[in-house]
Amino acid sequence: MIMAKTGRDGISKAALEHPDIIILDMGLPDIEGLDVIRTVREWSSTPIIILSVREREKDKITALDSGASDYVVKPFNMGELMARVRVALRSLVPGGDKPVIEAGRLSMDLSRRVTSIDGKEIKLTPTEYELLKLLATNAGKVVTQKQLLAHVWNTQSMENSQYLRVYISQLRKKIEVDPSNPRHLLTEPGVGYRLALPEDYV
Amino acid sequence: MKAGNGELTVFLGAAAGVGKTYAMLQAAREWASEGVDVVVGWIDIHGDRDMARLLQGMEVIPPSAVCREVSALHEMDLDAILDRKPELVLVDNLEHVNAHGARHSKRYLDIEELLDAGISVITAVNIHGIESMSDVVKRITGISTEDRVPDSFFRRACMIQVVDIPAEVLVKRFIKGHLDAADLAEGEVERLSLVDNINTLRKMALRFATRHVDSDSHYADSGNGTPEALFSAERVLACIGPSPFGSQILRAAKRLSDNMRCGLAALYVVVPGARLSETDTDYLENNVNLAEELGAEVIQESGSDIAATILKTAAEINASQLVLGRPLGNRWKEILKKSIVDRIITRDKTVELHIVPGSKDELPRRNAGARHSPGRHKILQYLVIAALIAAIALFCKTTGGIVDRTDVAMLFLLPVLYAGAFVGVTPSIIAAVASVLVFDILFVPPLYQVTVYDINYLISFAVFLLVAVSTGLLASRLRRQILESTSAEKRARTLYNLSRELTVVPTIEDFSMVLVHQVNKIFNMGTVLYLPDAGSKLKLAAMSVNEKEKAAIESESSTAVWVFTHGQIAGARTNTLSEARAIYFPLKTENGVIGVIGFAEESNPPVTRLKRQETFQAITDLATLALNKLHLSLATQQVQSMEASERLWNALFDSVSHDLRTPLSSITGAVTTLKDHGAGLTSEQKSSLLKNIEKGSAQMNRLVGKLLDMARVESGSLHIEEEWCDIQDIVGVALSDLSDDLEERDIKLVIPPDLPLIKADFGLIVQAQINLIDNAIKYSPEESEIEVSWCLEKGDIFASVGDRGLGISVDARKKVFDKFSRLNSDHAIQGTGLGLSICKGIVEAHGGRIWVEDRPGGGCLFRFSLDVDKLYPEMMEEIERS
Repeated sequence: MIMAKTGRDGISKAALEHPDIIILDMGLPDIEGLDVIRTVREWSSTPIIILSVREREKDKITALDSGASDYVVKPFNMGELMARVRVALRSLVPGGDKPVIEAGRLSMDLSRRVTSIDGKEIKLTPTEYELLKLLATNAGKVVTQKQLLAHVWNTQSMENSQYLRVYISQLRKKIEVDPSNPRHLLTEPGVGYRLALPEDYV
Repeated sequence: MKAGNGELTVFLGAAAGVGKTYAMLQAAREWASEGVDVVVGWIDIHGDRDMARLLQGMEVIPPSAVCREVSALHEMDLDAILDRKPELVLVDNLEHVNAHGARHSKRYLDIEELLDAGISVITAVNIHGIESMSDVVKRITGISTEDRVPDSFFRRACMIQVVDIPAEVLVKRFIKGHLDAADLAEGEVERLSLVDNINTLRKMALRFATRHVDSDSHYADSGNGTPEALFSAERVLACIGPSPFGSQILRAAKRLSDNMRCGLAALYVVVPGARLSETDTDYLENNVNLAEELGAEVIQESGSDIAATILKTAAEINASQLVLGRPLGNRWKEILKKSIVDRIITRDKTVELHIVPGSKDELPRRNAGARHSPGRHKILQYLVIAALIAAIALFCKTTGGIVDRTDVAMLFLLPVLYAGAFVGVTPSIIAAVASVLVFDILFVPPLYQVTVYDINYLISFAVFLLVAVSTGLLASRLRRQILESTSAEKRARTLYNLSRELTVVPTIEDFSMVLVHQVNKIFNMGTVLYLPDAGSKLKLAAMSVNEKEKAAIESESSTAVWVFTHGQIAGARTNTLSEARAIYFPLKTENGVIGVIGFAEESNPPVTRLKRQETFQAITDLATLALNKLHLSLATQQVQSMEASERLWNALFDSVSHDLRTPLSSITGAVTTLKDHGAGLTSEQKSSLLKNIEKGSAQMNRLVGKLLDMARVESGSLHIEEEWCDIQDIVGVALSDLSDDLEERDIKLVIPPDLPLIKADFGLIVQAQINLIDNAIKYSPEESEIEVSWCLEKGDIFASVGDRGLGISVDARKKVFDKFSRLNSDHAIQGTGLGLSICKGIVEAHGGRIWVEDRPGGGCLFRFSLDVDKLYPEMMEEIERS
């Protein structure tokens, strides 16, 4: 565990000590947290988890779009932070691109394009499948609306967010027990969506 | 405006070539050697070697080019001097008239601005450049010049120094060509070469300087104040009118008042009903301006008897010396009607009269042409009169002898009366003569001849003519008076309406818009308003001008800024920045200038100039009053809202200190117990204490969140980030946020599957939903049911949260949405009294409404509607298919 009290200190320590993961508080005394992310991303792909507050959704989105891996809202409990760290580290493990992704009751076999709940196969439209696949490959991690729109609909424009709403709603009807109280497909208000892993409930 | 403290020194000479510039340069050098910071603002040494030597080593501010279409003329760079801010500046040719396009029309106005800025000035002028002297100089030398400096300017001079050389020397200088011949007007050398003339001018210069010294003791303690008050009580009254002789009367009166060392007043009597032609107005305006330039107090009185009004005013202002003009010509009028002079003499034997023989003075015409030609309208009127006469003649003729001849004569008065009442004096006289002729030819024997047999008829004709003319005159005077009073009444009414409109506006922005648009609408002239911003920087507040002139007016903001800083009128038809398209008036109050209003009139406005100036001033005064009132009422409002916010702060402190300390004390209690007695506690006790800490922290976190939300709602910075939202998602996120509190609650969800997507701020709507559910949890018995429902009714989205609590009385329903209002202030219930108020802010920001009603079966039902864009599932499908 390496501690840095300022943004500049953090950047130099990240460069010298090569940490496995960076946890970054966005409220820094010297420079903008966003600048730290951008600087580190110039030469390193070390996962960065940011600590932010509820009121600053825009900061989170910018941070995520600038290369941060995930975020945790202050105040948070340790379990929450550890879960995020685990997810972020897992993506680094070689062979992480498994053909079958398991997330709780959900399992997706990417090679056979088969999705199942509790072992029972469910039918998904191609768009639904693409959407779920992106969320599943990033299981446990937040995916921003922009990323989803860019990947599935090939558009950067938030004007098309209505499609996202409709498809998320349809997916929930197919994979959730109670769509009004989702357990798998979680909304991160103002930011995006997250496919929850079982340890998220720990 | 700040009182100027720059000192003015004037070098006065009898004629060009006496060496004023040289003397001035010498004086400047002396000052400079004493350590005074001297610069040269304007000088023309005509290539003189001696002067060039004197000028060496002195700082000269280069003249600036005044932009003209054809060629650039150079003028003194006023702004550069003001920026440089020397102690003393040398400015030659005081009487100079600036090129069109310079800030001021005359150089002496530039100098006044320098003096006002605290810069001392030395300058030079020839005797013929002084307003009150120009007449005499013209008589002696034949030189007439436009370049004149008003006498009032010299009051600011702390010293007038006469530069004098013997006449013979001056003549020799001319002959030797010591001076650059091009410098002098061609005829000047010849005429001035008369030694006598030069000596007269020298005497005048010396006398002018002496007079200045005489009055110096009076001025010494008055600064730049009005010297009239300090003069002996006696005054000279110049009676001016719309005549070309006014300037002569005024200059004579000025000389008289200077010699007597007493004040000067100029009186203009307005005769009600008298109509001034365009030329008359020009003369009058010129005379009034000249009177002001000469330092006279201009008095305007109205009265139909001019002589009586003059005497009355003279008595009021204690003027025993009256200066009047006796116009040439119109002898017959004087014989018929005693002249004003005669009438004054017969009425009052105490006043002294000074009669100035009138000789026509040239009048600089401002806009030639544009004179009224008798329009089609007038011709029509004449035709009507002719037709009337013809009709009466025909009627009397056809009816034969039924109508008596006397009655016929009476009937012929009708057209005269008509002409007098509706057309004018001249037509009524013409009508009278025509009537007499027609009557004579058609009705008086011998018929169809102008001659008459009976001598008695001649008397009848004379009487008829007399009656006709006087009736016509009376009728036409009456008509003019009616016209006058109607137009005065109309003006008063429009101003009154404007003032009423201006007093009801709530904000400065509204005021600006209403003012410019109403003025433009009512008075039909482009209007522009400038107001200072928070940093006292003048900004365009509103404008209402036609598209053509918009750019031109917008580019004149520097003129408005000048008016703002100097508190004086400037722009079109003034002496300052006259290049401007509009005329700008300062909105002046006792606290300084609070704005600037500009009027851009049409090039050929229907009313006379004096009247327009009056109207502008009236509008300006009105705007000043209204704006001042608005400022005061806004200040009062601010005080009130500050008081309200203070009350709010107190409530906030009470609430926050209680609500933050409660969880904090439970955390502190638990932590200290664990720390001090941790060893002796069972694991169950420990976990219960830890749970308390967790709960307390969560409570505090929520409270901080609410305070931040409230701050956003309150500060008005509640920024709506619209995106398409799935209502089911809104409810889902809200419920998961409250999952800890909802564990033991029965939540009933009613969300129809076919609800549209709504365009709203997801985070804020979720917050509103959370706050309502949270409220329901707090104010209803544990384990009672809570219903969350959304529905679409008649195209509107409604959300409601129902509980099984005690319900809310009708009286309390409105108050529940107020800040810090908590039902029966039960401190046992954790809450800030902020949640519902935040909901209200969020819902209203989305154009919605929030309210509370009784829930069937007990408890209350909080509902809100949202006025937002909706996207229905079927629309989505259509979009997707296409």
